[in-house]
Amino acid sequence: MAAMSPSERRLQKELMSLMKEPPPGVTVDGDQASQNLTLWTIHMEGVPGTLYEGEKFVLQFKFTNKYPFDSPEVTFIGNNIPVHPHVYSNGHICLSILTDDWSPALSVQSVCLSIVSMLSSCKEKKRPPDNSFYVKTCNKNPKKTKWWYHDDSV
Amino acid sequence: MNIMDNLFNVLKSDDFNTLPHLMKGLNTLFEAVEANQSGPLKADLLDPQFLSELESVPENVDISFGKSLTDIKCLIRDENLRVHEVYLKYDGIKRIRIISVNIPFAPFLEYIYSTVEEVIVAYLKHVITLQSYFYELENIDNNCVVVEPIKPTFKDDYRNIRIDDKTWLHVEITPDGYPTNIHLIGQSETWQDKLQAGVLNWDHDKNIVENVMSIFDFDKSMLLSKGNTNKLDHEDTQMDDGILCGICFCSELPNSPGVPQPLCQNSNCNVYFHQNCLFQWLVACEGGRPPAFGVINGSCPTCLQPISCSKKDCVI
Repeated sequence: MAAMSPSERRLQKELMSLMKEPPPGVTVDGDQASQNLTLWTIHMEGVPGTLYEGEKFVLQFKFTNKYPFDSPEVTFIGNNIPVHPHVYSNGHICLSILTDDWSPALSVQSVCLSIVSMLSSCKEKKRPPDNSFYVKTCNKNPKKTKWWYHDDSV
Repeated sequence: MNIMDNLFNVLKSDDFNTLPHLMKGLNTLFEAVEANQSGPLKADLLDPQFLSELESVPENVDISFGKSLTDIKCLIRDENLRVHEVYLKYDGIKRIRIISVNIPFAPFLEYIYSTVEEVIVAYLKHVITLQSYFYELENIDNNCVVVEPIKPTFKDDYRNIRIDDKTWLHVEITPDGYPTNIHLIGQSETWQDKLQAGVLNWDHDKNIVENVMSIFDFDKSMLLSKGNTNKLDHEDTQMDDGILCGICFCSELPNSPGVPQPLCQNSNCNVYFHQNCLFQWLVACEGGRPPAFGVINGSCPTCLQPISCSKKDCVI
């Protein structure tokens, strides 16, 4: 087997620790991820006591070979995209740590926790105000979008 | 019968239908092949004069062969009973080259020697001049906690000595045994002040360890205290032992030397980084432009406090 690149080594380690000690409500599809380390599917459950209690979501992580210097591309996929002021109906998430504020000290686990907390602190289920326009015009890759992080409260 | 036929026989045979049997069969086969190959080498490849030379080396030298009979490893004991490894290559009659030695300063590497004895004499003559270098390194290794190199040898002419969990002292040793390029890694201001004052009062009649102890007001037990450096001893870290880098999450980098260092100067940020990883990240933050003077500034990936990193030793 060829030697693993630094990005593969790190992803392998993250995958192992995420499978071993997943945060509450978060499970990674380990078989799929170990077959293709650059594409992960993560299942997420709405936290009890929040607006999303009982709902199930699926997140997709895509990594480049520059990870962790380059942030992962994270989107919601599947039938149930959470209705949230920072989540577009095509699954794109407006979250600063996924682009401008990304740091290599962050990890899949910390991104998952940020998304869980973003959902949990929501007070009213609604789509972003520019949803229909954005979904029609945006690039497939959310990282190509120049996000305007207008609101820190949710 | 050639090797391939033998191999097919083993693979097809019913005697080897379980894995342990198969392994055993293959093993016997390979042993036979190996025995066949090394047989005629001795007679054909080496000239008898060279062989007799090898038999008559002085008793402070041990000779062994490497991959082939022309690769020779000499273990030479010097007059202070330190053992040195010298690797030689036999290029032909009266043509012997030194391939590598376990010391960093070896001005005689390019020469071609006619006998092994000539090599030993030249090496021992050179090694005599390095006695203070060896002494200082041994003294540091025996009396301090050396965090880098991980397995220090005489080939490494520097040591990173643990001062506390967040601070290491870097010292390089010259061939004459003098310290040079002394600086702190991950310095706190208190240690920095002590070092600056201490370096001016360096006592050249004392050895490096004694000077370090008086600079930092340490006694012997404090220098040998490992603190939390070994905190990762528990079983969770089977894949990597030692301190992990906050960027690549590993302790060793496959393609470059170095262990994660306490580079962030925020005393509340207990994260270590490979110099290489941090440099790469800070350059990426600047849009990929490498810094003009080798030192790049930015913010710590973990605590966002100001951090800087120099390019020295970095491979990108």
